[in-house]
Amino acid sequence: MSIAIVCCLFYSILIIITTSSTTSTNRAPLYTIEGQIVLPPDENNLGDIRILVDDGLYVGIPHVDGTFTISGVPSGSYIVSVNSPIHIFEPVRVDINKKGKIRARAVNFIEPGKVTIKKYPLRFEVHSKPNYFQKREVYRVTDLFSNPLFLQATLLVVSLLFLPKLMPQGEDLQGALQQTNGLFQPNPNMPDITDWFIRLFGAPTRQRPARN
Amino acid sequence: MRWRKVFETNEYGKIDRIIWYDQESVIISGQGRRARSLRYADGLEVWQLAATTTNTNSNQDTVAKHCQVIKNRYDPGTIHILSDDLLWSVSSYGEMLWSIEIPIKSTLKNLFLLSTSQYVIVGSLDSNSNQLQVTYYSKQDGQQAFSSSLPWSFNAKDSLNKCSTMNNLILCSNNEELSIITIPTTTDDTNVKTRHIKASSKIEQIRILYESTTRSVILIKSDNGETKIYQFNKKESTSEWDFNELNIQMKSNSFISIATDKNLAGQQILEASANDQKLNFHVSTINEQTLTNTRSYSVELPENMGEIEYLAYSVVKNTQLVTLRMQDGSLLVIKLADNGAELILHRDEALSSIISVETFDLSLSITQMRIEEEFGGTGMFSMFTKRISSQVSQLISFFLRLLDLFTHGNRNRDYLDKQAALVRDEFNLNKILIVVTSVGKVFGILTQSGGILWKNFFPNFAPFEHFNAVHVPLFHIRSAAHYTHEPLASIVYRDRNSLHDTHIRTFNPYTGDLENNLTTSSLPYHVKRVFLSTQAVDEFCKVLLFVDTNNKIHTYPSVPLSRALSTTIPTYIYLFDKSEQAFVGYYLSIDENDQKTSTNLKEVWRVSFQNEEVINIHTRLSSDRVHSAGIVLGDRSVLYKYTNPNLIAVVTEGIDYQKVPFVNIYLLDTVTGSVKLSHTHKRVKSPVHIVLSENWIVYTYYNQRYRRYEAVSSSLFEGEAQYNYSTFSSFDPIEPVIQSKAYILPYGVNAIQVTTTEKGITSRDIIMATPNGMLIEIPWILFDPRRPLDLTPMDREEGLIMYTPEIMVNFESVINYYKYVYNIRGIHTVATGLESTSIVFAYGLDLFFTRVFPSRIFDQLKDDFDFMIIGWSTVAFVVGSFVAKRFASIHQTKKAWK
Repeated sequence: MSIAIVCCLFYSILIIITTSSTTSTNRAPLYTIEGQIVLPPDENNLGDIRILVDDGLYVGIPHVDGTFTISGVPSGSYIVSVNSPIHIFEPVRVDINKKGKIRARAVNFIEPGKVTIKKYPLRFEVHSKPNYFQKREVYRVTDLFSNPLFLQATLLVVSLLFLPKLMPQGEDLQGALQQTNGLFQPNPNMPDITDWFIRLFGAPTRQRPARN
Repeated sequence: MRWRKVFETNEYGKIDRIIWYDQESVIISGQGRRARSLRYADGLEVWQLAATTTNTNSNQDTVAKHCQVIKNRYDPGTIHILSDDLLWSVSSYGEMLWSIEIPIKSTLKNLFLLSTSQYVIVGSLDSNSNQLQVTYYSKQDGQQAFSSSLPWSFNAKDSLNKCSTMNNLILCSNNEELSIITIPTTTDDTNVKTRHIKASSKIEQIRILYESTTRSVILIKSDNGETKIYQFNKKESTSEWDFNELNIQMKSNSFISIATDKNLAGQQILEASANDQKLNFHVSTINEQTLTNTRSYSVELPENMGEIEYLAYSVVKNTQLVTLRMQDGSLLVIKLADNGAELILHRDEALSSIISVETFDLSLSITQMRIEEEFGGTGMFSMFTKRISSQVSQLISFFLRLLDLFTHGNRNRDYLDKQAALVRDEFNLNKILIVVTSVGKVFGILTQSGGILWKNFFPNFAPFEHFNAVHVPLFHIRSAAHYTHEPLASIVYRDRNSLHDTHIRTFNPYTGDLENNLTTSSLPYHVKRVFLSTQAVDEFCKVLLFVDTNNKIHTYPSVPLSRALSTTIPTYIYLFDKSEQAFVGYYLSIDENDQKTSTNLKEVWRVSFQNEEVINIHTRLSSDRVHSAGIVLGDRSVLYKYTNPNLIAVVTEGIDYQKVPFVNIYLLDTVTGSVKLSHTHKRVKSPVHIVLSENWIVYTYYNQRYRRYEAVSSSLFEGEAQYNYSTFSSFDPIEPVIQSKAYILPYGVNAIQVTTTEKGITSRDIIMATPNGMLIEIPWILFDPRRPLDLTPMDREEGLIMYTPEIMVNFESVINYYKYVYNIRGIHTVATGLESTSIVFAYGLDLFFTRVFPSRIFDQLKDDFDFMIIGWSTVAFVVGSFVAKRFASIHQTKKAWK
């Protein structure tokens, strides 16, 4: 942990030194960042690919064989990212020191001082493909079975069907069942809406025999 | 379009010159610092070269930043580039031939670059001795061969503006005289010859139309509109040239271009002029001293496009093609054939320079209007009759429509569809976008198709300056809500020629037709700021209020101020004084009975910034709605938001006493002038992109120390109790409690905006445009400054997420999928009739439009909702219940018989 902090401090000091010394001289040399993009052989579509240095400070266009050069870059630290709508590439931080020595390391935004050296000249391989879409939920029968409520419901239905069969078929029970059945019988004293309509508008079925 | 390559937006991507070869073209950009070659077939790069050193003295005047690129006429595969103090040569197959530095001083400037078969010649002006030093460098290796000097009377700036080079000639205009300076090309003769051509009046412009090793054509334009064309022919075996005038009659506004082809005997000259909506062309063949074989063409343009800005004429495989760039940014390609001219391509390139965007609701349909009318009455009886009559008319129109369908069938379907596209849909999702571009062209765009409904071009247009950007005020004068009156929109802009004159143009956003009563080009005062009145005056129209340079307020059209502004709510106005770097607040006192149409402003506060420069301000969207006044915490208590509608965000930049650059962000109350929030960030680089909404602010910047993009989010709260629950006043003694958190962004930011919904109930999403072409939708809860470092059950109850410094972006939140958009400058969001839905329009080099649902689709059915299944299952249930009833009754009867 402490080493990392020291490293970080050292690095920031280094940067301060470099930035202050470049202003004193009149002419500063410019360097070239080189690299290669490796695509799967069946998807050799380089047309959509842009190489961005520091989010568009410099823009590179790939060559036919996937290599690219970004020239005219002064010394400093840059993030080189390869952008394509159909592929994801991991960005790389490229440090060019005052003498023109170039090294590449992994991008780490949280610990900027941490150094994980990568290969230079840069080599970008397809990391993964972007997934822009959420999978649409489709109706499947298996989903129904996996629902716990459905299991409960089936259990209930099963018990409803089989419980009466398991019960002793006693006479008193039959009577009790009939009594309960009576509860659901329509009350004969209750006025029926059909009767009310017949009374109000007259029953056509009765009128017809009258005409005959 | 076959392919497109987007270069850098900065100076390095600015193209200086393109040199066309057979298979590829060499593009010189970044003021002569980079050369790259692109293939025509697929746009891939063949090679790239750049200058190997750079001058780090950046504090130089504009004359020094000058570059010149020439193709060697005697060796077409070699390109010579003079960039400030660097001279380098590249070959067309990607080899850096040589590169040398030519020292410059403030008194010594490299201005001219010429080439011969043996030498590359640089003309540098020594302003001490008023001499032009002509230095010869070997074409092979860049070695300095020899130099000579000649007297020179122009200063550096004039030399660049008034002089041109051609082969071994330098042409300079000196009032009514054109000097032709012949630079010797070999070491044998060192005589510099100067000859003159007299013009009738002051020469405005010299243009080289055609250049080859033996023949050249130039055009001289005088300020009285007279244009002359001279032809230069090289004398045999010398470096001198003969010239003669071509007798060609030209209009003052015409453009000339010359094309050569192997099949053609000589050069063809094309004269083009724009006349209202018509382009006229005259093509002739240059024959020694005269023009022969003149043919005329004319083509009708679909709209007014102003003057010609650029013209190129070329003959490709016996097809005569004319490429034009018009004043309104249109790109035209016209084919000239024996049967006349034909417009084969028209692109509105102006759409890539949008500076203002407004959206208008579409008009109500006739039936919707009738429904509106139905509830319009006042008395009981009138309301009843209105209701009955409107319902009867609805019934009649329904039958008429049925009749129409039977008699005409689908014959006028297209017309009806077109009408339907202009009528508001059920949920007000489709709108009209009014966009103003920096060239002065205004477009009306339908959102559902992206089709251009209408366009208007204002030729003398110049935008206002707004801090470090340009800006054109665009207002809703009358909204679409008043269906009996047409809606109106106004733009305010300056005159291109006299920047103090202000123009107002009012138009109908549906058709683009100008409303002449509200259109003027002469305001008797110099405008400093313009804003819209709070009250509608005549016929639901709002008026424009102007603050002039004497801090006096005026109305346009002239109405009493007491009618334009509310007399019960006091009006405060803030202005920015650039020379003092101060915001000044003014109070506007209006008497109810006062009939004055203009009054002076009274200063009430002043906030000035020392040692820092205000680079931008940001106001909240006018459509910003706050639905809930507080946040319910985990313990069921309420934390009240500090929702001050008068806040603006101010961004300043400066360098502190340790020479460390810093950026400051302030939240300024524009009524009282008090600063509610101030943040300082050291070693931070602008641009700062800000979103200000409800009670929070989110802004992004580049951290130079850690070399990453960061976002800071702050929320303002009143606390556990609310001072005044009904209304907010800036004068209430509330000290907001501020909570802030900073986050690391995975990408850079080009533009940022927040989603808007009708009532503000839906949660907020931040829409971010990144330089790599994505539009990302990030929920605001990820930026919430209240995200805790360690999550307590109470926080979980409230729905907070634990703090992580990095904001992770899922590719599922990229709203433009595979359609990457580049160089986005702004994002416009609008609410729709559905609370869940917000409209997003991103503009810049590319345009992108979509709808987003920050809280998912909670008020709509999914698009795959199966109406058939629901319908049929309902029917099945009804039938089933009848059948079951029947069986039940049979069962009952059987039981009864037992």
